[in-house]
Amino acid sequence: MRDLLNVESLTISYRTRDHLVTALLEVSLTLAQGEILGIIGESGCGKSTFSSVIGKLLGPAGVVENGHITFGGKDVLSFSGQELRSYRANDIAYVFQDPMNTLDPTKTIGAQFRRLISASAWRQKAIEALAHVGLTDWRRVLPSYPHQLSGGMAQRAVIAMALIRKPRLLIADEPTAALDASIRCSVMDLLTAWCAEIGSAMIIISHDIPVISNYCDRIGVMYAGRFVEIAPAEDFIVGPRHPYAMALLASEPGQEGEDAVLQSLEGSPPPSISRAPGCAFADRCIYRTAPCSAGFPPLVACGSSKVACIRLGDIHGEAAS
Amino acid sequence: MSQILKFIAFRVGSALLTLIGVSMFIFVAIHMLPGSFEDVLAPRGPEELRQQIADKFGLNQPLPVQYVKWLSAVATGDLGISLITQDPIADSFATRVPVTIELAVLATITSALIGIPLGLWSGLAHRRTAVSGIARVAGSFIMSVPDFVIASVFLYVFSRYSLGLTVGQWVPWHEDAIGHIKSVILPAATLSAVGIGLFITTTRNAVIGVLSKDYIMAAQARGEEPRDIVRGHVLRNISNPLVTTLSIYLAYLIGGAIIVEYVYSVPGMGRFLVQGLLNRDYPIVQATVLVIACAVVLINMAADVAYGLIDPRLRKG
Ligand SMILES: Nc1ncnc2c1ncn2[C@@H]1O[C@H](COP(=O)(O)OP(=O)(O)OP(=O)(O)O)[C@@H](O)[C@H]1O
Ligand SMILES: [Mg+2]
Repeated sequence: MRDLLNVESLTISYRTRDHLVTALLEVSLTLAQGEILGIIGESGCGKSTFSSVIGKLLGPAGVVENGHITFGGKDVLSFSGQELRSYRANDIAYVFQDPMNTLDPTKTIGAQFRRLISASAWRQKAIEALAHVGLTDWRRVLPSYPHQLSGGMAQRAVIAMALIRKPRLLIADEPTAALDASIRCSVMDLLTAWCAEIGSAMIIISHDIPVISNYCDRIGVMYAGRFVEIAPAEDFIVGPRHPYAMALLASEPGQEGEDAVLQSLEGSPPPSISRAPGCAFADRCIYRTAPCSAGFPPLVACGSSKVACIRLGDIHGEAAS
Repeated sequence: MSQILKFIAFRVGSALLTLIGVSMFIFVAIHMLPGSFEDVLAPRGPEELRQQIADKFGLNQPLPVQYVKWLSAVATGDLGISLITQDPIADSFATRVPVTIELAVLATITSALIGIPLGLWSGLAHRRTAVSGIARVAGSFIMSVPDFVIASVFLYVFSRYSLGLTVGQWVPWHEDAIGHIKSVILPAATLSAVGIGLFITTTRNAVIGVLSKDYIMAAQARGEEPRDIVRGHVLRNISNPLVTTLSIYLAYLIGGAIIVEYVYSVPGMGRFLVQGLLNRDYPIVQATVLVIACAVVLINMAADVAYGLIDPRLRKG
């Protein structure tokens, strides 16, 4: 498979009144065409920052301090003006958390589709797209304002708007978090099915580990602005390697099985992401030793996974190299 | 569509109800003011004379009867007569109401035309340019200067250097059109000054608020042109706060341009009201307050209808 997206040692911070707040630290990642990557991690670890920088959507406070993003061989961070708009319009698409806030409250769903497709056939295309996400009642949906739809219907409409132009990468930042639990799976189903149909890759951010491991090819675990583990979903769900990932998985309700030896996630992530050398998770880690605070642990291959922990060998009793 | 019509009908209906309530309130309030018609017309007159006056104005009838009589007279265009001059009040209004409305509308349009674009520009550029900060400071500075101060400055400057404008004298339109324009400019400009500050500030804040919304980010993420985002999303979504400002400002001008009318000797409603109060000419006070209240209720009704047309979420009955 050819690489679609390549992120290389990306460091990002936000400018605040008196200092820079780090959000991403030396993050590297490759995404193949059509691949589905899930990103998990506690609040504030930089998931949304990572997803928004791919579309150069950091907002006025965001600063890219270092690194590159290449999409289909092109340097994304150098895009501006028309080039940037056409990249956003044709190559990538976003689905955000709350459909009610993502849709303009003063425009009907039909009018919002119309802004998206200039062709005179917009109506037919919109009807097809709505059918794709299970909204066959377009006679009611198209003339509706967002507030007249349920959250689930609105998110389906948002997904239809995102995929109608057949992007090569869909970025979904907690797409089901604002939805009723009973429809989360069906929304995930149609999202992944449609992406597979058009061959679009996908990055899904979620706090819902069971769901994400069900739908994704690979899972990336973020902690304090870095990926600490990137693993194939099937390997990850049976045995995460990084102590943080282990604790995260063990703290899921219904996961206290045989493996729940001592993994529980105590404390909370650091209030701000620190650039001090050493593993950021060390303070909360039950496997911590003195060398853990000495230097950044790099992401190293461990089977089919990549893990950033210097004590892998001791923890799992196997050579981590 | 029928939902919109129902919504409009509901707004009109509730405005009518409000008007009835307001008219009752005004009527009762005026009757509770100390001093009666007799005291005004014949302060030390003999009892018979006072009785005559009371009979003439129907003051011995029960209050509800007086109210209904007053209201039905008003409905036929009869606003009563001045106690002092015995002139029909409706005749004075025929010349005074247009003057006040003209000034109020002129000032509102001028300040909206200047203030909204400045506020829009300042809000859109608020992170990028220092000029935008200047617009913000200027907006609040203008707003914080009372209109009589601006009027005094204008009076001082333009009485020294007339620049062709008429100062402190009102020329009616039908007497001399050019002269009329010359006499309107200063009072209208004085009233506009406050409005410009108001519109800059409200527009700017509304724009900044809308720009932080997710649907703006989503539109950017879809690759919409900045121009289309402003036209399609920002303008529509800042319209409601602007309608609010517009209606409050217009209502304020119709009821409250009293000082500016005084300073520039404008024969409008504000001055009429104050003179009525000073002379205890109760029919004048009552009629003026009623007309101003009607105008305010109508403006609010129009604003309510506009809210619903702009934002579908507010279209409930
Ligand atoms: N506009 C901003 N200005 C300043 N700091 C910001 C801004 N946006 C994010 N941050 C900071 O950057 C860090 C990463 O934020 P981000 O939103 O990427 O986290 P997240 O993983 O998406 O969290 P959540 O799960 O709560 O959505 C946090 O420490 C956050 O406080
Ligand atoms: Mg987030």
